[in-house]
Amino acid sequence: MASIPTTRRGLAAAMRGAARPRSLEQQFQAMRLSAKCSRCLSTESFQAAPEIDSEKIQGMIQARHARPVPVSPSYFSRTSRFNDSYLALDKLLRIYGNLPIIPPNAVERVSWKTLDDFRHAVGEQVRATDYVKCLAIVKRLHQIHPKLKPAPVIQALNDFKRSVQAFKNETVKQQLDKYGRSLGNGRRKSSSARAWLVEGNGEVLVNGKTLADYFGRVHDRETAVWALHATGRMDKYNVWARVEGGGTTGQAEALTLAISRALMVHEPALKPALRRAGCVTRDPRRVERKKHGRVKARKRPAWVKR
Amino acid sequence: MIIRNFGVRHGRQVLSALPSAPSCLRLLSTQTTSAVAGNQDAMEQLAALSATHAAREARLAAKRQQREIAAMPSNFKKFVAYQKETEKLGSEIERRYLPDEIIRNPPHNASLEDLLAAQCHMGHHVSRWNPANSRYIYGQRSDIHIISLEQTAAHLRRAARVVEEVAYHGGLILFVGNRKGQMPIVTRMAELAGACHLFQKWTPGCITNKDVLLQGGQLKMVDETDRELKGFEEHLRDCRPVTPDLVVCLNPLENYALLRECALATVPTVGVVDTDADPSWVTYQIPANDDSLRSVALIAGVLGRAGERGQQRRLEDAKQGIVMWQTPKDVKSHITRVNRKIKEEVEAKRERRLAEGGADENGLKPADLMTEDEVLAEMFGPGAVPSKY
Amino acid sequence: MSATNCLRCLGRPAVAGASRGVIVPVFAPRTAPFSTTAVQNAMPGKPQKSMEHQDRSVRVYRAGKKMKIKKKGNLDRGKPPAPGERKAFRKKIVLSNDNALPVPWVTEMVAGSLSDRKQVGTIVSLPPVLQDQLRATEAFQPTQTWGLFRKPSTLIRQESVDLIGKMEKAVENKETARIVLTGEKISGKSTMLLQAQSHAYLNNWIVIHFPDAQELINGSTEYAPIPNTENPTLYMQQNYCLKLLQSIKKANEKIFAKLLSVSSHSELPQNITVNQPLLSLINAAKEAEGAWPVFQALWSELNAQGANRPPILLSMDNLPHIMKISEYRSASFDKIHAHDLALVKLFTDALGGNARFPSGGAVIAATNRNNGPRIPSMELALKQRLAVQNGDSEGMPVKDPYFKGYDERVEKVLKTVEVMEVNRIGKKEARGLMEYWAASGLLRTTVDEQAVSEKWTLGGGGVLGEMERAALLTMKI
Repeated sequence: MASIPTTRRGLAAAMRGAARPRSLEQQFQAMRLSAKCSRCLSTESFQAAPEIDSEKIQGMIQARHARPVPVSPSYFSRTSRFNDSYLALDKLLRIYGNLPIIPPNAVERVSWKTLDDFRHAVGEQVRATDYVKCLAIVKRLHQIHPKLKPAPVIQALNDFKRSVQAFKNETVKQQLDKYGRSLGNGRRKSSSARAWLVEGNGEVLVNGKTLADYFGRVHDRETAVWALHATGRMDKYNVWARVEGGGTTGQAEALTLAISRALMVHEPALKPALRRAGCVTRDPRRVERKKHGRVKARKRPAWVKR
Repeated sequence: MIIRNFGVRHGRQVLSALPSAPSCLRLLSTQTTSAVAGNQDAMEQLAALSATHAAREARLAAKRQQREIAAMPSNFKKFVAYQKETEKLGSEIERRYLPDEIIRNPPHNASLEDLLAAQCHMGHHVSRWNPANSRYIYGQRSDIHIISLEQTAAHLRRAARVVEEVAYHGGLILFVGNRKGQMPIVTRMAELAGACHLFQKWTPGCITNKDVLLQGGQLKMVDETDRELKGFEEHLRDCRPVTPDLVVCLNPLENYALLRECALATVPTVGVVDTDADPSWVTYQIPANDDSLRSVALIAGVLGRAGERGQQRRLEDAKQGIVMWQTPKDVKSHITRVNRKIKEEVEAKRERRLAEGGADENGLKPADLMTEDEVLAEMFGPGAVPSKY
Repeated sequence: MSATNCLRCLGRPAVAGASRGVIVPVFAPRTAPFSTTAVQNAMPGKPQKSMEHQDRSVRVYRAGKKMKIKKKGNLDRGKPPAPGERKAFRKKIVLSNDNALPVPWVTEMVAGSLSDRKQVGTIVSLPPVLQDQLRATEAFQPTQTWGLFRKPSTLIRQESVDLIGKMEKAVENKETARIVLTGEKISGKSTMLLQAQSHAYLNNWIVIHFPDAQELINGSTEYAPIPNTENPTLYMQQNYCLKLLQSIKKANEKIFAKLLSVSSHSELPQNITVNQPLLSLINAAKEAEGAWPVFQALWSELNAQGANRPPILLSMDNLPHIMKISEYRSASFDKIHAHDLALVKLFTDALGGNARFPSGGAVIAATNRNNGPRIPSMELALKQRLAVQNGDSEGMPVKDPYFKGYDERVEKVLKTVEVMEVNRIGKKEARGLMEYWAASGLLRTTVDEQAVSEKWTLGGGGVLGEMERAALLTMKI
């Protein structure tokens, strides 16, 4: 700075125009940017071009102070999102807890998210006990009379509903086809059976064979047509069935279910009778798995003292 | 097929025991029946009759219920209106005890009476004491240590001051109380003090191993008036998780891991120290009963109010331009980096435009500007510039 | 073994443990002294454990338990069954059950009852004489349910009337009806054979019945090449032959007593001259050695043209067995085809149409499905014959060109036979049958449409044996 001679007019004028001391390069730049028309450096005072106004440039950060803070007050717990929604629900319950509720049997059935679903949704390892408490609140809020249910409650409950609501599904009503057949299917153990029922005189074909051919055991034959026998419809229908999987017993009992379902299409009024005969409910039992340290599923190895 | 076997085994006995069915019922049957099957059919008919009766009952009950449910909203409206009307009738109860009043509306400071009423003075059985607490102990009664409430009040005031100042200086406070029933207290106080809360188990390592454990925790950037700032998305994605600047622990005994981590990270801690706790675990002790929810609620309430005061003061000062906290270094460097980059981009763009012969923001073209030689000549006189160098 | 012990057993025990240190089982035989079952208990030298512990002078150290499987001692399992006893028991045929109720409305079978179309669906009982004859030819089988009912009776089915009709027609025309009965497992093929035999007996036919073709070929009878037979060498089974002759004699005794021989047979062990009763011809076979010539002589006598012979029924059960290579070996240890056995050849010739009975008759064979070998050429031939009979030329089955196991000799035999299918029974027949069961007290339900239909369905749509299994042979109550 000292090396630059300050006696020159133009420079002095340039110097005057600047707000604070500048480096030589800056001076040079300022000179260069000054217009030719303003070369009349003889005037005593003039206004130099303003600096580039950073506020006009988009995207620049103007904040003079900034600090990071957690979004959620539950930042230090591992399940912050869950905690937030839990506390929100708790608050909703405190606010709207006195609204009238309807009895549980009249409440619209909703399939709530299971623990796994919820964990997947929030991406946190929510504890089962916590989630149970949370669901209890959810169910209580859901019990509020639908016409009085406030919007925030509805909004909050939506987070806990599963995306697919199974209870909204309507059961498809089976009907006879144009040939007068009805189709029913049944399962038992690992067998599955489909049976077509038409009005007839009691002939049964299983996988293209007669009943006696297909089932060597008389008990299995009786089981297979038990639905017809129990309702006294043995001589009124013909059965054509396909069975696959499993052993003879499983196949026979799968057929029972299939035939009874097909029969219910023909005569829905028989349902109570069939239920009494045990032909309506699917038997859910399967083979129990073998466990390590055991000989079979339950059998333990022989215990010898020495 | 159990039913069938049952029928085979017991059917005869049942049939023989039953009285003969009335013949009219048999007539109801549409099927051809033999003498043996008669009884069975009659039974079925009877069962069907009773079943239809039960079904009718059920239908009626369902209808009744539906009517009741439909009438609910109007009934509720009437109830609310009636309540409003009758609200002002009768005597007015001025003072009454509401258990959650202390949580909903905590006091700004606790007098000795308040502390005594909240049973803050009750220590543990004398056999369980920690001798380091002897200076807080007033005496013992029925083999229970009594905490000196003067000490409690003094320490509480000091701690409240600490909390207030930390909040005033924009620090991050964490309220921890993970005993059963402390959740509402902790969440309410955190809400007041604009702080974080923890009512579950402290995950060990959330301070010392925060880069791993708190990786997914969401942060936002705020300015002095707590408005959220934009333009920090990249930074917030890459920056390290934050640590609290003050930890208020309502039950230090159960939070050894937390307090130890705080000590390692030099995070000051405030703790409610009962007679069986080690006061050296926390930086600012508040000798008081930590087993009673009332006592804890009172102490936490005072601290929460202090935090609230601190936040209010900070925001008021920020309006007048007084900011008592510094922007963290990494945030600062981020700001300068971003701004420089944008500036450079703008410059480059402008240069490009000038080079193409366009006018700049003052409407001047490159031809209007002096050349370097002309500038030098202007600065140092016409003869100063050598013709060639 | 000391005498003192035994003597002591007889006396009353005075002191327990007579002398210390000596181990003497005072109460060794725990049972009564004269019991014959206490022999093992009374074995001396094996001191009883309790006595050992009583004797304090002998210290007993507790030893560790060892995994030791106790061997069972030589148990007295009784006398093993005599040779053949088990088989006899297995083949025992019980024809009546005193606990079953007699059915009053069942009539006895008479000569014309099986050919009476009106009687289809009814039950007829077998008269005692007929029972003996059928027993002699082993027409009853132990797997059939004869032993359940008071009297052996059979159901007259549509098929049986058809079969008998064919037999009668053949006799009218002095021809030989050659019929193979096929059908499903336990659908009543053997019973149809039995009915054919009953009809034959009642109408004074001569019946030659091979009860089980398996016995001819499974290597269980002695065999020898017939001298002077070349290319192929034929083999005779003299023991079987003798048995067959005896059963023929027993079953047809009355007829044979009346029939006289038309030529003399000097080669037989007992010289038979012309006009001797055929019974004496059969009686000539006293031992196995002369059985084959006697049988040959009998066969030629029966087939003698011009003589007034009754119609003949030649029948065989379990046909597929004789349609394969037998278990016998020739002198060069080659396997012998079943058709090279003389008895089998006689039957197959008759079935193939080579034999002509003088006053007609029938050759009837029944296949079996349960225990029989699979004979592809036989199955194919029967199917083809069936297609021809039904006039179904399009659906005629053809040989599998890639299969090598076809047997020409079998095809030749079955080329012209008539195939009769023993089908499932209809509901009408089923009802008759079930009413009979119910009347016998074996079926404890009222026989109505539903019950009939149920059993009919459970029996695979009217397979008779399966219906029996479903209704009679299961533990229901």
